[in-house]
Amino acid sequence: MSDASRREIFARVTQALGREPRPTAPAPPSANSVREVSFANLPELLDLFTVRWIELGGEVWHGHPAHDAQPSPPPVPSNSAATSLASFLQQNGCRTVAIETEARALLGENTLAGVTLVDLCAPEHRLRDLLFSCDAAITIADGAIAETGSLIMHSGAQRARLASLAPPLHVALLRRDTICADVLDALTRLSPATSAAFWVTGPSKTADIAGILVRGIHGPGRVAVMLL
Amino acid sequence: MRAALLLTCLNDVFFPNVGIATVEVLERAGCAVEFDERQTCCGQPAFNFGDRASALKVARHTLRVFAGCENLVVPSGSCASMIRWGYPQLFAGQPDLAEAKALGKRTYELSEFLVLRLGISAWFGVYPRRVAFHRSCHTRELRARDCGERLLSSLREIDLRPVEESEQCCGFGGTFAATHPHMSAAIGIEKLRHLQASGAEEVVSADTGCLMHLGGLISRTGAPLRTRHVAEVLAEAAQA
Amino acid sequence: MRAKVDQYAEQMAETVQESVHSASALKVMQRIERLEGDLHDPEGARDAAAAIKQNVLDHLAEYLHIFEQRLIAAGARVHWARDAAEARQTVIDICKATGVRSIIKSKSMLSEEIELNQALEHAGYEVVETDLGEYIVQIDGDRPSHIVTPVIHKSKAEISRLFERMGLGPYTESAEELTMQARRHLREKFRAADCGITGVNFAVAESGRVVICTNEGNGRYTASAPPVHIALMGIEKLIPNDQSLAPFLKLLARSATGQRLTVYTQFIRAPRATGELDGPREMHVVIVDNGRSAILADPECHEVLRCIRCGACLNVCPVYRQTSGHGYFSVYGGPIGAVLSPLLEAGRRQPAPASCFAHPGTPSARPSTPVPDAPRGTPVPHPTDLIAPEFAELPKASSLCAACADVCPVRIPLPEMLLTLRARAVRHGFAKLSGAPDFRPFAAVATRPSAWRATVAATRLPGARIATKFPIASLRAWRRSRDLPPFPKTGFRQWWRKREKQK
Repeated sequence: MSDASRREIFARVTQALGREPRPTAPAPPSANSVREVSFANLPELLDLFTVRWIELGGEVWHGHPAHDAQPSPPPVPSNSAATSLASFLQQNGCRTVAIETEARALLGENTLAGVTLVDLCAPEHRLRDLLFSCDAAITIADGAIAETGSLIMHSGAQRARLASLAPPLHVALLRRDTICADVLDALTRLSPATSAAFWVTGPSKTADIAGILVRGIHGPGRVAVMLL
Repeated sequence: MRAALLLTCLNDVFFPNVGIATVEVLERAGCAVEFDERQTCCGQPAFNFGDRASALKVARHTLRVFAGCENLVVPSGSCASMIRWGYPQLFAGQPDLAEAKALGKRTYELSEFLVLRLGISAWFGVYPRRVAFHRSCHTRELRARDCGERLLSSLREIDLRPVEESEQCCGFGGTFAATHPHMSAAIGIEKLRHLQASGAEEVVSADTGCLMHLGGLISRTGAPLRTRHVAEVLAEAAQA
Repeated sequence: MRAKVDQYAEQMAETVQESVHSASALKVMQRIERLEGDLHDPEGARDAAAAIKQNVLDHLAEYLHIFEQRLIAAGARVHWARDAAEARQTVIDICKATGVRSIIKSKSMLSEEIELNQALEHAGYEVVETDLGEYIVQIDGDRPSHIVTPVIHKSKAEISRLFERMGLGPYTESAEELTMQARRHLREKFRAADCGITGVNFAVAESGRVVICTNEGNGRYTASAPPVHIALMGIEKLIPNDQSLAPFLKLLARSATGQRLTVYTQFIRAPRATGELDGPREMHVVIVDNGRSAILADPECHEVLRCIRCGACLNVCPVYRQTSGHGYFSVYGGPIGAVLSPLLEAGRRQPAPASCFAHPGTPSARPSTPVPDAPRGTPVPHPTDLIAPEFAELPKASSLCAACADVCPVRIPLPEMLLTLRARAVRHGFAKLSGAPDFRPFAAVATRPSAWRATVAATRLPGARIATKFPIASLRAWRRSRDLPPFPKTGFRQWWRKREKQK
């Protein structure tokens, strides 16, 4: 059925446009390359991202005390940063925290006191049990968008799409040098090979009930970023 | 500068004072005003309704009457918009399309004509009243967006009040007023609420349709407002 | 016949009207703040979005072909459906083949258009809408009243009583608690569903990505949690490449709700890749025509296919505020609905359009082919004359204020189309509404100056006032809630003649 339908739809479209489809790809018009954020230096991008992220209700810490001291700071967070992450999780009643392999590696030698870290696992039903019952999850963010205050995440090996979605609280580890300026910039960095990429712009929300804004309807109601 | 007056069918029947005021304003601005007795209507009501055959007949008549005019000036945003924006649609595929487009190029709503064509940015005289300006929807299609307001705000002693949700329609809509009477009135009453809340005593607009509709609601509901056309305000101010 | 939309507006509860009004007014303000406050060149973004969408329509066959190829290469399955029945059957066939029993859905106007839920339930599947507003609509057996905010017409109390009846939790007036009740209930569905059906906001041809923009998170669950993901899209949803998404992502959320971006923007290319711990095993994209190709052939109205379903036109429309979406008696309401509904319905019945040659690549409307022998003065008939009689009334439910054209991110000339559709309705004799005058006698008088002058002069006579009391439908409609102005004793023409004589 689908083949006949396909043929007929193409026939209808061809007839509507009054010409046969061409073998070469069309040239689209310009995508309006007006940059909304024209600066590219990291400290300013970081500031803008932070302001936007917080405006949306997100939370943020620095993994290192001096954020512009070194051009390329080591990604492993300092002891005090790990401690504050741990106390943040404890304060929010997070006992069981799911953690991505890459994120675990990034935390390095640091442990998080008072919190049980559980690696993402297979098989899927166990993974699901974990993600639907844990109090929080820690994953890597592959990038961020300063203009909109968004995190960029790709699916990938040893990663779970639901890790940043199912738990009520999500912590993303974000390398500073992966923050890009604006949506236009972010689109150029969309990987051609990734099966699913998502931009997360704040906590999940809805105003469907009487126009009243409520956070955490389906996705996490609390979202936090640790900057590395 | 010659200005041919398009009176509009509504002013012809109901509001001669708007026509008279328009002539006075144009003469005060230094124009020689012409009034061709053969004129009737721009054809908008039929076009709005969807009867393009009838609209075309009426529009063609208007085209003939004003074929030789230098400038066509209308005390109505909706009629000016009809000629400038509606005629190219109405005359699409017709042999006299070029003529219709050419008329559109020399047609102006009154305040547009004063501000953009004659370069008048300040009008003469005093007008010590609390006024709310209703910027009718057809100014969206014209260049006239703020010409009426500009002229009014230049009057001495005028108290021009800002109006909430000023971009919202008054609900007249031409044939809409007759085919959807409940909504037309409800939208108008909402508009009156905002106009009243502004503290104005007068509602001024460049569109007779809007004024007739709002005026009819004011009369029925007893709202403490008067309606005036912008031409009447300018004429009165200039005499003061 | 009395206009249905007007009748609906009249009986609509005042509380509903107030909530529709205030929500709309708020969104109008937020849109302006966000567009003008944020973007360096909002008009430029609109121009780019309009041009890109027009380019897509002008090269639709090419873009569809490229998109299909990319999806297949990435491991997704592509299905084609000519109409609603075929689309429904395609979804059911996929479910049968994959052993699906329970289905979760996220927001999809197209799924409502093709009446998918009823068909799935009839075939024995459990279908749960997971968007909070749509979920409420579903369990209440209601219909959405706005493209973006479906239950703007319901109060907290109503929703709470509904949840209580459904066993979600005890009665409460707290929106927060109600939301948590829904979260707990729907979470179980996300966890256990066999199949997720989503809509598509943008389908990127060159990269083969399906882009889904949502706020709640259910869209992500629906596309990621169940083993089977079905994405439903109309043929017109294409965008050329990733870069060309920029103006759309700038404009969509800002136009709809004044946000910079929706909370979640998903770019989905393929099912689960090797090594990934979760994600669907199968990804199916169902590409649906259902009348769109007929509109594509319409020289005067094809631009309506640019629509990105942002809802900005609804938010600003004075008529929408009086009726909410329900008043349009169609899946699509508001200004876009008033144009799309009569066209889509006619397009469904007339799927093979008459031949109509377009000039591809032009950003403006296709030229209509003139009939060479038409005598002077006869309106030129159009090669496609799409308008469905049952929706022919909708384009008349408008004051033609053009606020919609002011806000449309892809510059659809809605007011022009409303006028075009009105003309088609008149030509076909559809939707003869009471209150509407007959313009043929008007034209007869308005083309004869002496007859016109005589008619105007007659209104100066003492008996004229009484004549207005005659049961003339349009006068009666006026008088329901308005007074007619008095006929003046002397007219302009008399004043002018007197003045000329004095010179």
